[in-house]
Amino acid sequence: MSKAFFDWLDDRTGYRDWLHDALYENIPSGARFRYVTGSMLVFAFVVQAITGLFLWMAYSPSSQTAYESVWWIQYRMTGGWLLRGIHHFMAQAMVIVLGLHLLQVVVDGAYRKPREINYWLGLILMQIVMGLGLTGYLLPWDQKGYWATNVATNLATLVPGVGKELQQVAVGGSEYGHHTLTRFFALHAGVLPALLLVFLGLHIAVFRKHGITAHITPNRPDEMFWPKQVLFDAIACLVLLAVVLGFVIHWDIGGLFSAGGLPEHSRGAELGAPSDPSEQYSAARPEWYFLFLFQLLKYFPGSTEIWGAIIIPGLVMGALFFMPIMGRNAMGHRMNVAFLVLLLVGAVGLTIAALVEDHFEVVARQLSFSDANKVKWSKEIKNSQEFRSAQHEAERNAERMRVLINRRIPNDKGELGESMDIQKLGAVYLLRNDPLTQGPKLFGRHCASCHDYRPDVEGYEGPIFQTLQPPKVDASGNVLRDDKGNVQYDEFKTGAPNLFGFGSRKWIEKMLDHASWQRLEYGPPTPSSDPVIAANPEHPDNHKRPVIADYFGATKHRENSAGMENFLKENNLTGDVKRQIASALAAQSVRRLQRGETKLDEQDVAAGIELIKNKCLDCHRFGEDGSLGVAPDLTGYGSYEWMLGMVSDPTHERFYRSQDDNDRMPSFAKDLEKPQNNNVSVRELSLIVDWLRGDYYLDEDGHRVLPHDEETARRTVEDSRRLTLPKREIIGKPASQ
Amino acid sequence: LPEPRRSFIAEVMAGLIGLVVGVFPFASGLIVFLDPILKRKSAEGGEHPFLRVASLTMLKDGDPPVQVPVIADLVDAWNREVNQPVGAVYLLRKGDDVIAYNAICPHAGCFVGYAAERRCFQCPCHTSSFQLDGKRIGASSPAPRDMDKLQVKIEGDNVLVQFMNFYPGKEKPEVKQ
Repeated sequence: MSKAFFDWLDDRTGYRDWLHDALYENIPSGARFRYVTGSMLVFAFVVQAITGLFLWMAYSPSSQTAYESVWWIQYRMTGGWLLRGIHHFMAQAMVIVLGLHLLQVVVDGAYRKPREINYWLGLILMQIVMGLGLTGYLLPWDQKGYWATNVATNLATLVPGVGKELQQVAVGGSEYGHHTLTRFFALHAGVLPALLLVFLGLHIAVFRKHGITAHITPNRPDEMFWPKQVLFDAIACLVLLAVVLGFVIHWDIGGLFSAGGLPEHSRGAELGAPSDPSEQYSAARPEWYFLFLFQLLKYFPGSTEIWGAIIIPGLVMGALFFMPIMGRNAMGHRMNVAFLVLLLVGAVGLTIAALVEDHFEVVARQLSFSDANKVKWSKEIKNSQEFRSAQHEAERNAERMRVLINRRIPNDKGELGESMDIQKLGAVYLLRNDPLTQGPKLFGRHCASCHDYRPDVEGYEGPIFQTLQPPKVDASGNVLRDDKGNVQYDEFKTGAPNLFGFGSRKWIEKMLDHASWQRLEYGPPTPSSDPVIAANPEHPDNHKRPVIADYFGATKHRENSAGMENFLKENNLTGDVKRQIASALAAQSVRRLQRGETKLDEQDVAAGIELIKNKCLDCHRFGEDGSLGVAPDLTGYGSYEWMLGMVSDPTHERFYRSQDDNDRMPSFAKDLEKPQNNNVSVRELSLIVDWLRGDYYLDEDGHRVLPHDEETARRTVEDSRRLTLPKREIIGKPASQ
Repeated sequence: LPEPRRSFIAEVMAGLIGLVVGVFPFASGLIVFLDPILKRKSAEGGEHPFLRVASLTMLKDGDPPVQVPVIADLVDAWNREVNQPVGAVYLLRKGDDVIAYNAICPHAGCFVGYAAERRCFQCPCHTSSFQLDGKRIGASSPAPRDMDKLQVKIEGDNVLVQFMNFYPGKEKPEVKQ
């Protein structure tokens, strides 16, 4: 029955001839494991085509959706990490097997007559595979792929004559965007695989015409391709797949069988933070198999860049191209082999050099560098430190991205809602508007030249800002010393309150103490961490001293006969009074408790409200009582609204009222009508305030809050500038009621 | 089987028609593919506007230079968004003058950082570094030119910069359109 069917099928299609042609190729001296590399490459390509097609079904190429769709594949789709992991690591395995295949072809002299054309077809295939690697690296649209590929397309402009046009066509404009992704994706999933199929077809056809370049062993009988060589090929492919799967799970075999399943960090390919063209990314590196090209660029100064980027790679490709002609005699063949081996050694050497430079800090530590060596290599160590810290930051941002996408906000009943996922603006907006990520950066840029953010609690892990005072310098740039050799400093001109814990009971309580209000001390100078500078005792960078002024010790409010300082001096508040007033004021801030702060005592708050009404209203306003005009409004003190009002315009009636009373605190966003005239946008101020107040999402109880959005921030600033407002109530009950 | 018969006209016509029907779809695709170049050629010579980047009183005299974002309309194919960061500049105030550098490295287009301790700009990619005046450090610096200086205008307290990007890898700055 079945024989009749297959006879009929063969009669209609002739499939037996095809099958026979495919399977019964003679292999002189029989099957060998050394013949497997070609089949492995075909297998790798097939794996890439299959996994790639399935990835395609979930991928969306545009700058608003590329990262988001890859994130979804990686973290939310069933088995998505595995699929992506196989595609990612098989691509790298393919490059390695390709290198072996080429090496084998050259060593065995398989490029020689009559196989020249097939060798050239192979070189073209190699270029296509490299192109697939390059275009694929960009598609996840994370910071790493974005910045590394940017360098590659920028280098295209070096091509003489048509360089700029080449870059424009590749990028789809002059800057990266939607069309860069659509083009790279079309290349990666359409043009290049189609070309690869065409050239692979030709490569195999020509290979079959000339047969295998056999290693003849006398008396070893010939064999057909089927079945033994096919078995060898299959075993090799199985090993390749197993190794790739090993990398996909990061060789975490233990994790695979652990109770919780494979841990997140062992799952497949890495995905960084979403690309952001306005965010400096100092850890941009190409995929490892392009690192040698990356490193090569460093050795070509100035206008010789084109040598490293184009001419030398071009010459190498040219030399590979001419190998069949060079190799016509034994001498030429030996030179070819030597050249290729040198080339591989060079590429490996350059790759190692690139890795060593990036991780030089570790190398120096491992080799226990002497001080002299540390000075000698200080630039390299510093660069490596910067690279590695950028790498860590990138990891932190990627992790933060996951927390933000998975954020869940409790409803009125305290039940957690669904995860909020990504909004249409894209993942990058989540990170750009995250106070925990942006707050410290913005604080460092706009506030830290005057304000400290210096913890007074144990075990704090997070950003710390400490103002440093530079010494006086002489005309030659060295530190100025007095007769006794002491380094001279200016009377200190900057130094505003330490904002760590601003608005908390503890912070206010300490402020109400006359001594700490006035405190101004200097810590011992710390030498520069740059060993070259540290070696020179006259260098001003070795004499920057930390300024310790928690409150107003370094401002003009330090001594003020008509102000708060005088009040504190004359009244010498008792501990109870300080605690009660501080509790009442801290209650106004409606601030999240941070880092071991305790809940406010209701009785303290009530007593404090009475105390404020008795003691403070001569100068301050507090709710309906007291009046503005002398000192900052205490209504809503330390709240989001109060802080945003203060930083956007401290000279406003509600705060320091005028430039005279305000001591150098800039109005960061005074003009709401023309936001482009403000030094810091209201959005950024809101991020700083949210960060200081702890209003950012953390995945634990009591921390599941969303940051304020831009529109709320703008309206809040408007509100903060209204002198009377229907609802400006005091929080907490006064004791008398 | 019929004898193969040669017909010059049929051969030429078959070839020509085959060429036309094959080239037409390819050419119609190619035109769209080359749109970025064709559009750029017609848009050349557009003026770069001066954009406000900072307030003069907020800039401290001397180093360190500050890095500020440049805010303008961000155009990405079909998206146009107002007030987005489109790039970054380093500002260095000297008295009443301000020098502005594009933060992009003239070597290969990475984002240059500022190394405060060494008082220089340091590119994180291929180790180019630049002095505060924008000059390359070291004879073997990979960068082919100094950092790209931008035109600065000071109007009252506002610091304006004529922001533009340049092609990396060129000896002389060439403006990206």
